Amino acid sequence: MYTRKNWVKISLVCLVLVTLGLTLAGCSKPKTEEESTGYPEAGSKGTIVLATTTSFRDSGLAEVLVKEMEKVSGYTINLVAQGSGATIELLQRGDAQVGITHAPDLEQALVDAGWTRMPFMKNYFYLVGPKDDPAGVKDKSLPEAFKIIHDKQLPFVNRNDNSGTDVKERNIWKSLGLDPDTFGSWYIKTQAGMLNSLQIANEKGAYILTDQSTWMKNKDQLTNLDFITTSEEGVNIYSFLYNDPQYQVLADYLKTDDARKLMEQFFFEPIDGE
Amino acid sequence: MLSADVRFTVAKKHFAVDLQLTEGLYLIMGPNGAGKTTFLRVLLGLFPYEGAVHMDKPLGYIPQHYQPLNASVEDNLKLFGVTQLPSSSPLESKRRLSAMKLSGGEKAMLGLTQVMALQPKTLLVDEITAHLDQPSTIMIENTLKDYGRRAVVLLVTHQWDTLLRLKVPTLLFLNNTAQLLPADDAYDRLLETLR
Amino acid sequence: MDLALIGRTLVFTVVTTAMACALALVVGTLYASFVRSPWSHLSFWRAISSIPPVLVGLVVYLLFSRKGPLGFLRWLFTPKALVVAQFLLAMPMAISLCLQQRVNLPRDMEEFILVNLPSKRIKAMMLHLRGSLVNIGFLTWGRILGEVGAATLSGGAIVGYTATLATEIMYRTNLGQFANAIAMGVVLLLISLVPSMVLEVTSRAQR
Repeated sequence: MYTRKNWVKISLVCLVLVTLGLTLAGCSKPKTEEESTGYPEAGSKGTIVLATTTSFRDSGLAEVLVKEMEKVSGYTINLVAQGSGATIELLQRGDAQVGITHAPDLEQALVDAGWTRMPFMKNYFYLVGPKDDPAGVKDKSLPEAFKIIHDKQLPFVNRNDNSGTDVKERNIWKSLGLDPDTFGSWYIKTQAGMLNSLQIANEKGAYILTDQSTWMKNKDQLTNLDFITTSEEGVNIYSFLYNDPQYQVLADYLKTDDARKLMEQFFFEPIDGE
Repeated sequence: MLSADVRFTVAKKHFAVDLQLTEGLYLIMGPNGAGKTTFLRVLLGLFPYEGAVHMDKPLGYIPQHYQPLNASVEDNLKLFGVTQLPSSSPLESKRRLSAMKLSGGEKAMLGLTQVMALQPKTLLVDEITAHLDQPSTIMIENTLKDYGRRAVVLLVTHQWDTLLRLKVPTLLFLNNTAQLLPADDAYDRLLETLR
Repeated sequence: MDLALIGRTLVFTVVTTAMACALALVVGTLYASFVRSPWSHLSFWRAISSIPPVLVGLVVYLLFSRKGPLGFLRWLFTPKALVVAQFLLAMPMAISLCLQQRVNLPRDMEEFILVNLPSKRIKAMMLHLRGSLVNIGFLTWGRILGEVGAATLSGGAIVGYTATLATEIMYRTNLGQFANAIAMGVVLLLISLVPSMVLEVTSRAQR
């Protein structure tokens, strides 16, 4: 009996785990509130995937907007975050039904394929840097500031990860006719996330291009850095993407006053009109 | 009944063995690398040979590097259909222990108990007593001799004192030949190799 | 610090990881017991088990994506795809460790079983493997537990649905919620160490 008892024990444990797991997996996302507000019943309209970028998710606004959109529409919305390119891919492949991205060049491919692109908010990329501004570029435009920093070879941190920030920064260098791959050791390539890269810039007293919301949320701990400048070249436009009219209700939500208030709380600027 | 008429080659040495054995205990002896273990494997069909082998089934075999399975003594025995041990057996008190924790001698006893539970008509044992203390060695020798009354038992051994105690016919592997000799002759031959 | 979040994530992580490990152990044991020459399979499975986890995640994504061969199952970005990814990470390791156990048995013993108990060969192997299953289980447990890449690609790391402790630590850190992140890090550390500590204590008690 001893041999059999052990196998029985082991298989019983496995069975319990599998059952537990399947039950957990079978549950849909737990819904919290009871709705008596005239909105569709929570989770009544099925589950969809909203794809977005990690930086937008990390701003904290994504989770909040998604919760509101679920309430208003009755969909259960699963938020999946990857890079901009991946987000577009997910939408094209049908693994995500709606998306929020901020890479107009990449979004064009979807628009060409018949998707609806609704810009709904924006923020700006900021150039931040050492408090004493050794380059003396405060209040200059971003391209001008970049040129001066390059000429003076002052430390500059770059994320080198094809994120939105990295792409925007490279575009500015390109517009100046400069190739970042030829820069010297003053140009510091991390491969880190936004917050991490800011901390590195903080340590080294370097300039860095950052997105507005990460800066606003964390500037208190970045004691060596200060806002230096920004300009229209640094604009970052967020659009809502969908191609099935049933998701129009989500797009509409993003234009409401409640949505606008939330965006402002997280340091984003709502956009009016198309 | 065991009959073997085989020719095999190992380490560039050619061997030819022709045997007919009835029930009883037989030793297989000779210096290291003389071909003893290989011969056992030939009998079992685990080594290529030319010729014919016949052994009464069921077979029992304890290899040189016998090691119990990674489970309790009890489970190791159960695998062979042994549910009860005689109370005199030294393994009795260690039933629930992991078999890997037994001493060398106890492991040998375990292997022997397992194989004998199958009641083989041909029992091949490869150097089981090499790491045992005297009392255990003697007990095993007696067990095997006793079992020889109902089966053909071949015991490969290095130990000359086993030959002295048991005084049974011995297949001696020496200088590329294998000869079945009576106990005394075998012993004399072994002594000759010392000179 | 959001204890409810940490608690839910902990339970989810433990259940999915345990399921994947259990399945991997079953496959490993059966595979290693049935195979006739474990030595030739060992290096293959060893190599496979050092495939970077994120690559496994990518493969799972491509398999379960709507455009992929298993897209019709709609398992992508659900716990099901996550467990599949975790299982695929654990399985090669479980197989190679089980094969290793079998190979540790001297060739003599393979012959021992073959000659004495040819009909019970598989049962004998399974018995032999059973003793090391717990250890192998812990090793696969460790490999899966802290993994972020494959978990994110297959499950989507959706908060409250497919987020594991590992993916949550990364997310909360990026958000700046250090209290949550550190708390989950401590929890993760505990659940990766506690099993082996428990084993250490119980096996000492046996001696």
